[in-house]
Amino acid sequence: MVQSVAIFGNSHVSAIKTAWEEAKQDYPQVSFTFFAARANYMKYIEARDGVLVPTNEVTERSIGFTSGGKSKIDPKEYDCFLVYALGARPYLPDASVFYSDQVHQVTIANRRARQLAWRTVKQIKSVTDRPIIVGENPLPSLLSEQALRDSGDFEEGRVDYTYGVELAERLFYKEHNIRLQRQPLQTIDNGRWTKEEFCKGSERLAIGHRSDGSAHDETDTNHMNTAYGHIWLKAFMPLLQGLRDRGGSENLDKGAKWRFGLRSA
Amino acid sequence: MSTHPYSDLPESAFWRSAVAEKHLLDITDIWRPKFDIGANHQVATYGSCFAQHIGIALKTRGFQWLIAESAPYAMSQDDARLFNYGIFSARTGNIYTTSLLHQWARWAAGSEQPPEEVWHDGDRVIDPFRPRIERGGFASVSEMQASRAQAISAFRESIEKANFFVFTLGLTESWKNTAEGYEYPMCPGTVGGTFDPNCHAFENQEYISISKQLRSAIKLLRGMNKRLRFILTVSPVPLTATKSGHHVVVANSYSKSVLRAVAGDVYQRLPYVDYFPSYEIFTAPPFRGVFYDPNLRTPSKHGVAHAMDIFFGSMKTKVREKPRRRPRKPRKTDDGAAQVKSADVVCEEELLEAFS
Repeated sequence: MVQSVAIFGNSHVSAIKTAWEEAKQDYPQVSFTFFAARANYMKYIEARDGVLVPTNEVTERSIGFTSGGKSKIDPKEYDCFLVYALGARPYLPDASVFYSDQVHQVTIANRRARQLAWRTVKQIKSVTDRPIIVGENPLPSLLSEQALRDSGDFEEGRVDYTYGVELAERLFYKEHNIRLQRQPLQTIDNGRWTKEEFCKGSERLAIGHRSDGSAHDETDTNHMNTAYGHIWLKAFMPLLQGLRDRGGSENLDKGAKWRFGLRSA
Repeated sequence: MSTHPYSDLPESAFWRSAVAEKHLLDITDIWRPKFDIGANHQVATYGSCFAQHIGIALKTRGFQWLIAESAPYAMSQDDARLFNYGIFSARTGNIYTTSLLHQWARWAAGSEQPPEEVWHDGDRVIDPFRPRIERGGFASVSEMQASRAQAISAFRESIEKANFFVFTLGLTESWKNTAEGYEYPMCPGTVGGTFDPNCHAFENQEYISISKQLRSAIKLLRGMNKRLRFILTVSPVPLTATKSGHHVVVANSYSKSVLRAVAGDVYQRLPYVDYFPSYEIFTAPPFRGVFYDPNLRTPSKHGVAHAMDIFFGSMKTKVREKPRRRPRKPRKTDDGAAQVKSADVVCEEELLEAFS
C-alpha cells in the first residue's frame, strides 16, 4: 500500500520536487504528485463538482506538466495533501516582547487569510476532509536581511523560528486541524535564517518552459536548492508515517469511511 | 505722546487686532513654543483621548513619534489599533488624570508595585487599570499581569528614550479604591469589574491635589531621564458624563478650568515644561465651536488638523510631511467585528455615553 500525497506549490516547491525525483526510490511507501505553478498562478484553482480544476491556461499547463499530465485534482486519488510555500511565510515575532495569545492569534490568522496557501487550503477543504499539511516558505538566508528591511517585513529584536512556529502551530494550525511541517533545524542559522549553502544553485520550477531548470538569480536568497529539498523530504517522512500509523483518520469526520491502507496505489 | 506698558505690545496682545478683525482661520501666533521639536527628537505621547491626535500628527508630519510598545510586525495596522498598539507610546490606555500619570510613573520607577486586583468577565480577565486594552479581555490572570508588566516596562523605556513628553490633561473626576488608595481610569462596573460602594469612591479632584500629582509625576519622570522636557495640553474634549452632581456643562467648565490653571501654573514655574493651547483653539469664543462635530464634543477632523497646523507651524523646525499611503481595503476581523478606522481615537470614557 502506497500513501499517495498531492503537493500544491509554487516556485519554492522546486527544491522538494528535484529532491524527490532524485530520491523517490528511497521512499517506496509514498507517492508524490506535484501540482505547481510559478508565482501566484495557483490562485487559478477552483473547486468544481468535487474536484479542483485550473481556470487559467498558464495554471493548467503548469499543473499538467508538474503532475505528469493531470488536468485536474481529484481528491479521492490522494491520501493527504501538502500545501507548500504559496506565500506562507513563517511567523517570526520578537520573542523578547510579551504578546497575549489573542494578539498572536489574530496576527497569524489575518496574515494567513491574505496568503495563497490559505486560499489553497480552503479549496482543498471544500472538496475533502482528508489530512492537510502545510510547509511554509523557507526562511530567507542572511543575505536578504537588507531586502527584508527595505520591504518593511523585517522583525527587529530577538527572533527565533522555533518560538514563532510553536505559536503558529498552537494558535492557528491546530485550531484548523492542519499539520505543519517545520523547516528542519539543521538548515537554520541563528534561529532565523536558512543557511546560505542552501540558497546557492536553486533551480526554477520546471513547468515545460524554456527556463526550466535554470538557476535563480545569484542575489535570490529566498529559494532553496535540491540539497535543502533532500533534508526537508527526510524530515517530512515521519509526519507521513504518523498519519499512516493513525490510519489517517485524524482529519476525518466521524463516520467517514475512508482509511489509509484501504486504497491501493 | 507718553508711553506706557501697553504702547509697545504686539498685535496679538489686543483682542481687536488679534481676533475681532480677523477670520478665525487667520488667528495666528497663538502659541510660542518654549522648545523646538527637531526632526530627530523622540516624542512620547500619553494622556486622554486628545493626546492620540498629537501622536498621529507627529507621525504623519515626519517627526519621531516614539512607540516603545509595538504590535507584532506582521499585525495589520487596523488590528494593531484594535488591540491598542500605536495609540500611545506604550500600551497604557488613556491616562485621564494627573494622579493616574503619577501612578504609572511610580510603577515605572519601581517605587510601587501595581495592585493585585483583577476583574473577570466570564472566563476572560480584565485589567482594572487598562480595562479596554485587550479586545474581549485576557485569557488568564498571568497573561494579564505579563501584558501589564510589558506596558510598564515600555512606559519606562519611552521615558528614558524620549526628548519630549506630551501629556494631555483630561479629567478631574476620578474613581479610587478607598481601602488601598489607588485609582482606576474608569469607574468599576462601567466597562468592567463590579461597583462596590464600600470600597469604590468618587473624587472630583481639586487644584492643589492635581497640581501636586502633576509635579510629583514630572519629578519622577525626570528622575528617569534628566533631559526630558514636557509639553502639556488640556483636552478640549468635554466630559462624556459627570458624577459631580452638577449639569455636565458646569462640571465640564470646572474640570477644564482647573486643569488649565494647573497646566498654566506648572508651565510658568518649570522651565522644562511648555503648554500648548489646544483647549483654547477649540473652545475660545473666536472659534465658535466650529472645530467640533455636531455633538459639540468630538473634535472634527478639520479642527484637529487646524490645531496640529498651529502646533507644527509654530515650530522652527519644518519637516516634510510623509506621503500618505493608499489606505488598505477594509477587512472584517475573525469575529466580524467592525474595525477601528486608523484616524479614529480610542477613548474609553466615551463608553459612559451608553448609560445616558
